[in-house]
Amino acid sequence: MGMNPTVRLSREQIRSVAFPLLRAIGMPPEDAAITADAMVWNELRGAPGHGLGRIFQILERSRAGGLNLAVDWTPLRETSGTALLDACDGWGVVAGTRAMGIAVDKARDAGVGAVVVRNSDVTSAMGYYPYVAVMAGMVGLAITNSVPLMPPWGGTEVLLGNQAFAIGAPTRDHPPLIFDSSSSAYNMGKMRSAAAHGEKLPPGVALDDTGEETDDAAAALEALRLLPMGGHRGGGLAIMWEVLTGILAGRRSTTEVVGMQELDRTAGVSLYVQAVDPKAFLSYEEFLARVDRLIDQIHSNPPRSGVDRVRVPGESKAGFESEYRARGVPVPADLLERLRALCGDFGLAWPL
Amino acid sequence: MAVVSTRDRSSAAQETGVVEASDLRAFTAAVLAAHSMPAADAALTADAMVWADLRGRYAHGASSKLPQCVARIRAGGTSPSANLPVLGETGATFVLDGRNAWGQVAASRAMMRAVAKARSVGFAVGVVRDCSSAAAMGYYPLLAVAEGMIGMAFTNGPPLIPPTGGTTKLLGNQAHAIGCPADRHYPIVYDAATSAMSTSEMDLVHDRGELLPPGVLFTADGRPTRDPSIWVDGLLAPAGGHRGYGLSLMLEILTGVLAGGARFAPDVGHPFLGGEPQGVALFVAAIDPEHSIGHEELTRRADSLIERLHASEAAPGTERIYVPGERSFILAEQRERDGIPMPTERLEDLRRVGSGLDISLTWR
Repeated sequence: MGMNPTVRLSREQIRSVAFPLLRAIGMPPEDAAITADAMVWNELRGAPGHGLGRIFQILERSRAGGLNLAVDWTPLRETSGTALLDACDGWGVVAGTRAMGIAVDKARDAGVGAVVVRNSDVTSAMGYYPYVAVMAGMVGLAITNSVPLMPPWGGTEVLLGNQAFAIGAPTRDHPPLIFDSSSSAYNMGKMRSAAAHGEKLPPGVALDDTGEETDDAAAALEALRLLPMGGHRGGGLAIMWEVLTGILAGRRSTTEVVGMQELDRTAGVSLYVQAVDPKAFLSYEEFLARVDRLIDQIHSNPPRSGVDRVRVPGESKAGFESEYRARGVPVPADLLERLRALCGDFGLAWPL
Repeated sequence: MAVVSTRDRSSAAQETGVVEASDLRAFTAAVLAAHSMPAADAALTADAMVWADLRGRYAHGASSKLPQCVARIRAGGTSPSANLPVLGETGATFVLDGRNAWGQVAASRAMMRAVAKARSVGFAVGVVRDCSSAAAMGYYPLLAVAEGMIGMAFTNGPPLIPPTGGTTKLLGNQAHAIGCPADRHYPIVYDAATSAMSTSEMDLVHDRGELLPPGVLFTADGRPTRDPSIWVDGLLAPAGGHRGYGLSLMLEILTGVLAGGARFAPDVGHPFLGGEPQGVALFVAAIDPEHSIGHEELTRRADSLIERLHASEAAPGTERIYVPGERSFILAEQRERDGIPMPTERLEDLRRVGSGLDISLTWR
């Protein structure tokens, strides 16, 4: 496998590519800014699958009719602590970011805020939404349902999404703490990587298309029947996440949710986001000191043999971030070529 | 320091007796009241303990928790009165000072307070600092469910789980429960620990004289073990590896860190160290659907989710798909009617707690 040449780009350069293209595709300025910022964040954290490449997905889905770019983000209903938002088939990153922004605003006055979103497109990396709360000094939680990928525990027929969820907390001396997980034992990226490298899957990861457990990654990808993390535990969690998203949001749920590959069909994803202002519970300084102390306790835990040191969730991503902030983010040259051509199609000057 | 263990049972085949749920509730409440717990709190605690017995979860039931609670009250680690002063509140949040109150009282009162706030603002969160263990967490969301709301209850606990890659236990197995009301069906109630197996399940395995499945428990020096009797000194594997570790950590942030009490993470104490305050923290939340889609729409949609799960094809060898909490409701209904079968040894433990107090327990 040949190395794909990359070009190192600064955050500002990534943004300067993304924002005008998103505007040209038809996103209103504020929504384009939100989407570009999230792409920069994901690129910085070594998650390019949620970065610049998504511009093509937004273009294709909006042209085919699966994605709506002109959304009125006024909540359908709200109280001082809650809101119900209709994303009207808008881009999930905008929906999630705006929902968390509303939750944070509510939490500033009420101490906590919970926002539920219906009719969203796919949400991309969930860790970004708690990060929005963390930047406002709050603890954030975000949960999404998705196209069915998992049978219920004990079953063979896919019914539940892999129900990604993320929780983040602010810190003082450490990078923000962001735990980002799916409710399946393996996420799709890990499954594809195992298939590409011809690696066997560990036990408890996937069923094949006859409903038997398999360790063959290619057969597992073909069947797409993931098993939940920790067996019945993840199976139960996936159901409760459906309650808080698809059921509580009041529109589509479980098998009514559509995958992003179906360009002309709206996704119908639901989201639950929550912001908790620590200041409603203890002093902010005290809160940060306690989170930092917990992180220090993790770092000083003696590692097992073969482990260099014990990490907190998201630490490897934070490691990318510190390197990429200093040296720039490596972006594949062929992706930049495709983006340059797209700029040409829209009559935009290439910003780099 | 008084050490009170309820886990040193013999594993021989056991005789069982059958106790009426109402008798067990009355007995439990009377014993607690005789130990200076106010009557309303004693009734509440008795109901929470028997709730677990009805579901076959003896480690969280009266035979385990009542002797433990009494021993803790006597030794001074738990306070029988629970004033639970409000240290701070907004329209949607509150902080209660546990002052070593029994956790089942603190958690129930906190959930009811969250429900009252959620009724006006749609969503409310409360934390309790410095209380004792709250036993089975699934009970508390049901207090919200009974009021037509979605409820969540999380707790931290004494350190049992090392961080992934580490060798020293740091985090509790963080019981967490979420419940949602339904209309034609039992409510959905998810009640779990972040460890691959909960300690109460390990106790049950021990009671049956069986061995643990591989991969759920390690000795303090990191060797795999299948001996359920040593969990207190061992290392518990988190559910789903690093996912369960991450969840344990974030639940500690929402409980021990956020509650602002004297202890969190590795400093939380074990319930069987009777003279020592535990410093457990709780996080409870209630969501009132009346401020979004409405109660009827929520329960209608919950019914439809339950029916989709029931209709889903079961794997060979699996009878059918159950919804979280469903098996427990079926068992509890049957036991409420027919009585609770329990090892006689456990019933004798209970009888002993009442013996000096002229409070008797009968079974058949």
